[in-house]
Amino acid sequence: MLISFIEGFRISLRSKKMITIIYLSILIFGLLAAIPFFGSAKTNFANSLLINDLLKDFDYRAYSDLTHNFKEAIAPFISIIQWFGVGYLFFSLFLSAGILGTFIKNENEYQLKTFLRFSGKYFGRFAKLFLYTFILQLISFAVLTIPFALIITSLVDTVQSESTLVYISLVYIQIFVAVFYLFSLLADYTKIILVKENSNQVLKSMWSSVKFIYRNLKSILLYILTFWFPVSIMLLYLLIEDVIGMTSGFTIVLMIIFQQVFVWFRVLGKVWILASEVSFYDRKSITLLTEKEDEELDEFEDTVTETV
Amino acid sequence: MKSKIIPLLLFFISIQIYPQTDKIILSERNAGYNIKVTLDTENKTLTGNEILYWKNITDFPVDELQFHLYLNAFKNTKSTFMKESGMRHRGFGVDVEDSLAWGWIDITSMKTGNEDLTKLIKFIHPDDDNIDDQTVISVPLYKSLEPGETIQVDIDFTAKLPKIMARTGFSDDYYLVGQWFPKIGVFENAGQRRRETAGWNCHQFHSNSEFYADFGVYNVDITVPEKFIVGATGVLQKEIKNRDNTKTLYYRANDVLDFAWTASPLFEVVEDKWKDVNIKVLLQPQHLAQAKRHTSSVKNALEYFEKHLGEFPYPSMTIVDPPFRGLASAGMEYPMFITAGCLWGIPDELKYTEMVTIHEFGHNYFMGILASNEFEEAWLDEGFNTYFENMIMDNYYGEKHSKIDLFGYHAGDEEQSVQGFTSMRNPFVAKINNYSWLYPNGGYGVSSYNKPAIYLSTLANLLGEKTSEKIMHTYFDRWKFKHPCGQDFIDIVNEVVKEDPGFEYGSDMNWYFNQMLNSTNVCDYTVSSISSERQKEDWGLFDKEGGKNFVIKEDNTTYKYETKTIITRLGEIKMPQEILIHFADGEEILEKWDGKSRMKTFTYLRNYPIDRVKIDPENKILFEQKIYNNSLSTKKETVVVWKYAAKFLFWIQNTMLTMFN
Ligand SMILES: [Zn+2]
Repeated sequence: MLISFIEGFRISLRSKKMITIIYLSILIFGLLAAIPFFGSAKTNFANSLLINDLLKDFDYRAYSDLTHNFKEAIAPFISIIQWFGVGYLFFSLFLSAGILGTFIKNENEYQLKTFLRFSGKYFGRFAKLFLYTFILQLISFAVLTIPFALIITSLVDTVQSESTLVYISLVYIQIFVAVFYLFSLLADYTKIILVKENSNQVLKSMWSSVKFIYRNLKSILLYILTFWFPVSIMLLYLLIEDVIGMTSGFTIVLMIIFQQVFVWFRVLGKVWILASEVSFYDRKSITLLTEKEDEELDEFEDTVTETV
Repeated sequence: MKSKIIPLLLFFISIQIYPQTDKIILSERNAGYNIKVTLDTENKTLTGNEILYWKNITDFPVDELQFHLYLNAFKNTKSTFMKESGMRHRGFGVDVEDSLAWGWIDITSMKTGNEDLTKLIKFIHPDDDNIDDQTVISVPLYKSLEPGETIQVDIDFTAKLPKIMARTGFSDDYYLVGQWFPKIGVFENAGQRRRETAGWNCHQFHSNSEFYADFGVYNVDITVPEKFIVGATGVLQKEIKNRDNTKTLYYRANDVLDFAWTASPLFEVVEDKWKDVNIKVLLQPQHLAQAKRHTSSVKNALEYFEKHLGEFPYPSMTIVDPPFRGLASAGMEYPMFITAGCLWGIPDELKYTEMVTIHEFGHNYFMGILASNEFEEAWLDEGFNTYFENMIMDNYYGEKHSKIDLFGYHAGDEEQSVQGFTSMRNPFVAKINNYSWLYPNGGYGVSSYNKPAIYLSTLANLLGEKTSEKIMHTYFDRWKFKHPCGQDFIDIVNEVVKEDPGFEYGSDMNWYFNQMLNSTNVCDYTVSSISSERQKEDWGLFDKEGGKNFVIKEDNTTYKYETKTIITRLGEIKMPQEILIHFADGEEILEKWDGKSRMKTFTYLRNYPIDRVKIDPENKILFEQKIYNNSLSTKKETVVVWKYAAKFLFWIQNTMLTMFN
């Protein structure tokens, strides 16, 4: 596992150009929202001295006065974040198709033209895969929520103290996170299989992926640790923001640079994980499906595809 | 320190010191009670005998008595309380399907001397025409009680505690017993609290209202199962074990206007002391780690109140920490006895527990000692108390940081009081001067807590520390252990400001209180414009040598600019304003304006134009609705815009990355 991580890291370091292109896509999307935000804030607040209270430190009174009196101006930007999140989700399927295509079919040789060709080629399958995983996630969250809700409601009526409720909730949150991660692992390996085998059968590849994960469960569960990569990078960011502060023109510019470097590193993180998954799959894959399974899944795939 | 032998220890201490304090009589003591009560934990009932000593301290004879039977508010859906509250109080609802959830109180016998009054009792409803409400009774007397006479009334009662609702009742094995005994109303003298004729003031139990009572001595004997730990108003005198696995605790409280108690087998007892005041916290076992949050809050409050209002006159203070399932009893005040509220695992940076402890403690003064009528003038207790709570919180835990201080996000207690008012969806909803059950459109909370608190704080900002301290001390000294009304406080303000040679707001402060109490107007001033023009000496067409000559000649002899700013009053509240005018060369002028007219223009001749203007630069007027329009700058202040736009960009990028599939 560790070898794959190192190998993945080597690959991603060689893919700086690709990472930068992906980063730029995020920057462009972000600016599409941030530039109007800047304009709106400038026209609405910038003639009031009150906003200067927010420079040196957070100021509750200034903050609540502005957010209360400019509710209508601020609201669209909150929904922009949500819509961009969802929009980017689909765009990212396109990107990961390009990344995996480059890693698997192009031997890590990044060229924009081929990148885009892979993106186009696998996007449809990846989208289908996303839909299936999403449905599976919804079902499993629903299944998990019912016992949780039952336990909590019954305890609220009997338990003397609140700490029990807090502990149970924490355990459940951990279960939710673990399940979520398992599904994203499933999706990642399915994508790898889809690209590697150039298969059109998403469900069949998902099943192969399940088998692959099951066989290598111990090493693959280590992947859950990668959850800490974005978390720790964010904590590091908050620490730096706290130390530097955004309290003057200079520190604001400095922090803007830091922010963008962090975003670049988070993209690197995404690419790194995908690269190490590819490398791990390469080292561990053998025939995954039995012949019987192969046939049965073919039939099943057909019926599902027809209904979808 | 925690211990289960504390009651015993207290017993020895109390015999030694308590009788002495008895000699100092602080109040009229015209409503004294000797009560023996037994708690039946099986049926959640109280059985009690009450001997009331009530003295007519007015100038008029009294021919009937009126009592509160508050627990009947929880009897059924027809009570005024249930109708007004929609069967919910502070977010907690009645468990309607559980017969044990409802509460009531019956008087089984009422005698005075040899006369049996029981049959004469009738329910009355002085506040509404709800004939089903049973929270107030009237009892005619056979012979009227003359001024100065005392009557002794012997009452037997049975009460059923509700499942905790509106801060009284039981939850599992936890009992918070408040408003539980037949309590006599206040017979007010003519002229008292500005009323014209003498009469009873005995209101029904309402959803939005608290209480009003006379002072007296309470001797209360409480019998509970042996395993229960008890806390109460007053001082424990002795504790006796009974044969039937119960115990009786004898409490005495002097010069108080109510009596509440609690019992639970689970309490952990933590004790502390501030000067001569014994502090006792009854904690849930899980909250033991938060004991200090309670004791230090009370000590801070004791210190602050002593310095800024008056000495704490009682020997002890008990703080109850309700269990999770009894949180509907959190945050309530009784003399020498309060309930706070905390949750397991709440970090120290969130100071809700401190806030509620300080607030409820403060009610020992505002209502407990300065015994205003909470039904009719809620701002005199909740408003004053919130004002003190804000000052104590900000003083001990840091201005702008006292309530929340987490991850760079912070807010002070006073800031949040201000925000609660200025962020109201409808700030015109109600005026402060209202009976607390008469808020047809809502707004009781903000009108009784936030709004008066920030008006009092603004008053202090206007009058200065010395004058406002003097006002508070005078108010306390003059009205402690009496029943002040709002006008009594206003009179003191007017009296004190007259002695202040620097007073600059007219002949009195009535203009301020009228706007504060009797209108729903809001305060909103704005800097409408800043403009500057070059001074011109000669400009235009001038006759010269038979023709017309176009001339532009700027006046550079005196000042280059005529520069001005216009201030507009957008709201209907008129406040004297200070306006800071800043010129491009750094010069500053602080202007004063009475704030009365709709607009005011300030014009200057200067070599540099005005570049920014700020109304109320010291933030004295806390009820200003919109502070963003209180200042204007001729250039765009873009640095902060960059800061937040960068943050916005960063977070939207991170959201997208989190969604990366
Ligand atoms: Zn209060």
